[in-house]
Amino acid sequence: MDASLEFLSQAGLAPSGGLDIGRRLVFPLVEASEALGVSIEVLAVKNADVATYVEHGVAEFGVCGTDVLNESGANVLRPYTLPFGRCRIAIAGRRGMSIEQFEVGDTIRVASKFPRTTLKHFAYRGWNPEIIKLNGSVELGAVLGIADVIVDLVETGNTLRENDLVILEDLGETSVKLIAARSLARQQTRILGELVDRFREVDGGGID
Amino acid sequence: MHATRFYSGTPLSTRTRRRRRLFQEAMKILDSWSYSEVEVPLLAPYADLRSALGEDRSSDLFRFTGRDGELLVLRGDVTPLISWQYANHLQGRALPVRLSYSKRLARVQREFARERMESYQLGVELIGASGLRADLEVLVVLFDLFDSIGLNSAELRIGHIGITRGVVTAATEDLEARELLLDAIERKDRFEVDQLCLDYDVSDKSCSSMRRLCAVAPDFFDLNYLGDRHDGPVKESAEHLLQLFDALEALGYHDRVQLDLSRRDHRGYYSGVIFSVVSELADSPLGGGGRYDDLIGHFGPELPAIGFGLNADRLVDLLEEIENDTAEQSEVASYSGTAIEAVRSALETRRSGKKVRVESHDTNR
Repeated sequence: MDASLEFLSQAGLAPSGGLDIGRRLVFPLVEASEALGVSIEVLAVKNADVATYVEHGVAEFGVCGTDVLNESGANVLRPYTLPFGRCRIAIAGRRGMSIEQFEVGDTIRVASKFPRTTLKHFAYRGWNPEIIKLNGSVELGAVLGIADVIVDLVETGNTLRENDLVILEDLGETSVKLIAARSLARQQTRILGELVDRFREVDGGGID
Repeated sequence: MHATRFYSGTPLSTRTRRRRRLFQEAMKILDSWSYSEVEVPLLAPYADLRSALGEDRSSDLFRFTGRDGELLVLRGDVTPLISWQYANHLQGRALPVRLSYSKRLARVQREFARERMESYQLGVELIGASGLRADLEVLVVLFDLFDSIGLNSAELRIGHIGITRGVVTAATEDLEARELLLDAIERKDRFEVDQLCLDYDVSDKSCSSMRRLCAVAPDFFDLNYLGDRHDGPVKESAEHLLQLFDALEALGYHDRVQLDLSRRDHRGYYSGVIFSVVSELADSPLGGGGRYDDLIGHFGPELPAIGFGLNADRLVDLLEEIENDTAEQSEVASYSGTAIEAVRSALETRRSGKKVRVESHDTNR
């Protein structure tokens, strides 16, 4: 949230009253509203709920990571990738394990916050996953033996190292996206276009 | 002696009445454009439809075995059924044939995080007509229908399958890469398109074109760019879209249409112009349609065709919302007095078209 607000601020869309929003869940963007000619409010919701709010039309646009976006299966546009918040998603297991030890058809117990992503990759590899959904400290799943491996986000790898776990297979990169509902009318499309243009200006044509 | 009453069910809901009224009004408007209402079969032999639907696209339709062991498909996607019906039963009519329908469908439809099994749809099919004139006719009929039922906030997002498919097909021969690129383009995810271009070694020229397809609000410069950089179907499709937008502008619809070059064909039969109906007041598309010149050929002679289908449930929701927001509550005149006085007064008011209710506190007077 902080990084998103900082980025909005750089794009000339700062929240009224500064970046410290306290415990407010809904706050106006006065500056942005004036610049874009429409009233704009920010809803502070959990990362995993952003796509739901956007897909249901409660919010026109949202910012969230592809980890939860892919997991939600939400049918939304992803017109801009923000220049922060990128990390890896990987299969990890106890030191001494190797991904080669798993063969096609093997049943593997996996702990993860991302069952859909896990299922998709394991099916692609021909493994039969028994997925244990955890909501936090997923590493413990492998440490305490509730699962053979885990599928989780890896930023620096420090948490894995400190718990004697290693990356067995890199599943790719996650990033933070500006998302929008698919059925935008002209006025909404115009605003989205202006937002994306402003973001690209800040980014200097960097990653997107 | 006690009389036993049997209730066959609850009275029709307001929603059902609204939907029926919508269907009636819509069919009347479509009839005035010379679209004749057609009965769409409830069941059809799956063997006949299989080649048009494909196994993947059949998965959201209900199929079951008939009494003689034949696999049947339940009415779930109207366009292939009408195409099949045309080839089997309606051939010989003077072309073009204009058909309309309003029907209940059964198929698995993903809507947000839930799945629906049944829905109501109304729409038209214009069979045996191609080119700008036919495309324009169908879009204008659609606008007229929306305006007539009071939904003048409806807008169209219009694209062309020939452009999207043509650019991606030219980019790579790898079928898996094409699918991933079409998905990324549909999400307008330029970043992912760039990544895929690197992963699959796509040329800079193709990558630039696909970045244009991802534009949030593509314009005529993007269309001209694509037309200039590509030959064949992409160039022809871009020129066709430019003509269509010129025509819509000439007819005064310029502020109700927008280009969308990112659409892909999930039905598997669209071949030309493709569009979705949106409204600022609605949180999901109200319907959509497009040209499907290769579909009827699966069942009989090859004939060009174009049509649209509208989600009647969403239209009813939206009409209800608009009515609640803007319309004054319709006045219900109520009458008391003797039975004759009350009913006579109510009858007179009814003749002026208003809604009435006869009070029934004292039923014996």
